[in-house]
Amino acid sequence: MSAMNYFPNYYSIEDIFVTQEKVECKVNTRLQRMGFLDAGAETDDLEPGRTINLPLWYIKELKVNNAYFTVAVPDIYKNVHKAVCEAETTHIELGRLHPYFYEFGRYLTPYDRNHVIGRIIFETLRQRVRHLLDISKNDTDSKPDHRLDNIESKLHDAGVRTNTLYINWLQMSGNHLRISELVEEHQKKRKRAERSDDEGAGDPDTPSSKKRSTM
Amino acid sequence: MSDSENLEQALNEHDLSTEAALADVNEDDDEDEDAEPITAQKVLDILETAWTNEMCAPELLQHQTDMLELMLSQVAHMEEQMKDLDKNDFRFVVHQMELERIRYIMASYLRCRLQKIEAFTQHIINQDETRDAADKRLSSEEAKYAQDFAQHVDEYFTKVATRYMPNQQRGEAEQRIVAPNLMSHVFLKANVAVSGVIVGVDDEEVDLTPGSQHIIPYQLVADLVQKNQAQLI
Amino acid sequence: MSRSNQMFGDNAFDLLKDLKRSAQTIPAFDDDGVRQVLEEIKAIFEENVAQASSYNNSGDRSLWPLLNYRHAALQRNKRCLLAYLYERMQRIKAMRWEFGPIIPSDIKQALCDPEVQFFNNYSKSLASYMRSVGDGQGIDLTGNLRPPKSLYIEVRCVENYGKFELDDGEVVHLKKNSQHYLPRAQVEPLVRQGILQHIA
Repeated sequence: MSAMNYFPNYYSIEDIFVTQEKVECKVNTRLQRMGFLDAGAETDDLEPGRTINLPLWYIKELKVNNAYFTVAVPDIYKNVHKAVCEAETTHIELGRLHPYFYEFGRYLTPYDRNHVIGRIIFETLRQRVRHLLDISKNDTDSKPDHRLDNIESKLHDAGVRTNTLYINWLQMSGNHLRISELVEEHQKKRKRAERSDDEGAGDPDTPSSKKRSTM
Repeated sequence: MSDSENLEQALNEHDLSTEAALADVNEDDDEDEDAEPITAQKVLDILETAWTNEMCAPELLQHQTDMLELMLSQVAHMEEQMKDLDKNDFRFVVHQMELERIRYIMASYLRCRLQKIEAFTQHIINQDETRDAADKRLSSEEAKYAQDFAQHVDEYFTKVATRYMPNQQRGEAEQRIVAPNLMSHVFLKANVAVSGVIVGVDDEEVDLTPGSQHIIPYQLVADLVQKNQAQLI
Repeated sequence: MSRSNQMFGDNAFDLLKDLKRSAQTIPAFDDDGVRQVLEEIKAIFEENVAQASSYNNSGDRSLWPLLNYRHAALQRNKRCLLAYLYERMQRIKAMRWEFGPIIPSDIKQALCDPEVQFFNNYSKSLASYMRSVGDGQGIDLTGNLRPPKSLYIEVRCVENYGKFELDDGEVVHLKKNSQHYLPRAQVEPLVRQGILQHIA
C-alpha cells in the first residue's frame, strides 16, 4: 500500500537521519562568535579559509550561494562516475560508500557546479534496480547489507516480502491466523524475564501472575 | 466472481427477499431520486470496487456510507434468516462463508480508511472543509473520528513538549502537516473508453481503451477513478 | 551544554537514534533526554532574543550568521523532538490494535502519563467509531484481519484459559495443550493474543 512509498514528511525519521549527515565546507568570511563550530579554532570567531564539517540540516537552510560557506561535494559521487559510464555499478558496495547514497546526493545536487550528481545517482539506481530485483527473488535471509544503501535495502525488503507472499499464495499457506506480532514479542520478553527471575527460585512451571488483556 | 454468484444464488434459493429488505431501507432515504431498487449484488460490487480503489490510492477517497449501511443491514438480515437453518446444512456453510467474506471486505476497507485518516489527519480535515457537503471524503462518523484523533495527538504533544517551547512561528503548523504522495504510481484499469488522458509532464496524451491496464502516477488519473471511468488494481 | 565537541541538536538526534535502534514494542520514555532537548531549545531561544534586540538597536549585522545558525538549530531540535513523539505515538497506536484496550502493565511502565492518556483516548474513540459505523450497526475492525478461507479452524490451546462461550451458547473448556475445532471468526482474537495457536 501507499505506506511503503518513500515520501518524507516533517516527522520522517529517515529524512532526519539523512539531514544529520555532515558536509565539508570552506569558510569564506570571518563569522563572529561561531568558532565553536571549528574544533581547531583558536579564537571565538570562525576564520576564513578554514575547512569544517557542518550538518546538512543547517546547510540546507542557507542559500546555495551564501556568502559564508562553500560546500564541497564529497568524492563518493565522483568516484562512482566511472563505473556509471561503464555500466558497472552492480558490484559497488554502495552502503559502505554512504548509507544514504541517493537521498544525500539529492540534497547535494544544488551545490554541484558540474551538475553531474543528479545524473550519477539516477543512472546508478537505474543500473542497479534490475539486479536488486534478482537478488530479492533469490534469497530470503541473506541480505548483502553493506552493498545496499538505505533505500535499496528497503526495496530489497519489499521485494522479498512480495515474493514470500506470492509463494505463500501459490502454496495456499498464507492464510493462517497468526498471533499478533507485538503480543508475541511481549511474551518472549516476559519469558526471558521470568527465566531470570526463576533462577534459584525453583519450579519453572509456576503459573506466573499473568495480567491478560481481553477484548 | 463465483463467490458473489453464490450469494446471489443463495439469496434467491432461500427467498430471503433481498430486494424487499433493501427497499425498506431505501424508503427512509430522502435523497433517493429514482426509486429503482438496488440489488444486494450491486451493492457488494460497488463496495468491492471502493475497497480495491481505497487500498491502491495514496489519498482518501469518497466515503461509501450509503452502500455500507445497506450491506450491513443486509448482513444482519441474512444472519437473522439463517438462524432457522440447520448448521450442518451445506447451504448454511455457504451462507456463513459468504457473510464472513463480506465482513472481511468491509472491515478491511474501513481499516484502510482509518489508516489514511490517522496518517493525514489535518490534511484531510482541511480539504474537506473546502468541499460541499455532497463531496466530502469523510463520512460523518469518520469526520468525528478525525477531529477526536487530531485533538488527542495535539493534547499529547502539548503536554509533553510544545507548551515548553517558545514561539510557534508562522507557517510552522503548515510545515508539519503530513500529506500523501499523489504522484506515486498506481495500476489502473479503464472501465470505459477515455480519450485524451494526459500521462506525462510534457502534456503527452493517451487514449484508454476499455479494459486496458496502465501504470501511471495517481494524480493524473484521480478524476477518472472518482468518476468510475477507471479503477485501481 | 558543552560547545567544543558537541553540536547543537545532537541530544535531540540521540532520542531518535535510541528509538530507531530498539525493535522492542516501545522503549521507556526518555524523560531526561526530552528535558535536555527542551532546555537546549529554551537556551538557544533566549540567547537569540537577547542578541536580536541588540542587533535591532545597533543595526550591526555581524552577528547575523550566528543568529541564523541558532535559529536553524532550534528548528532542528523541535523537529527531532516532535518526530520522537510522533514515532512513539505510532507504536502506542499499534498496541491498541494488537493488545486490545488494556495495555499489559509492564509495557505501561514504559509510557509517560500523557502517553497513557493518549492510549486511553485513542482506544475510546476507536471503540466509539466502530460502534457508530453503518448507522449504529457497528463493526469490529480489530477482527476480520485476513480473508476467510474456512469457517472452522483447528487450534491448540497454548495455556489454560478456562471456559469460552461460543455465539450459539456452546461452552468449550480451553485447557493447555487441548485441541479444538472452532469457528474461525470467534476465536481470532484469542489466536491474536497468543492463547490459541492455529494449527494446520
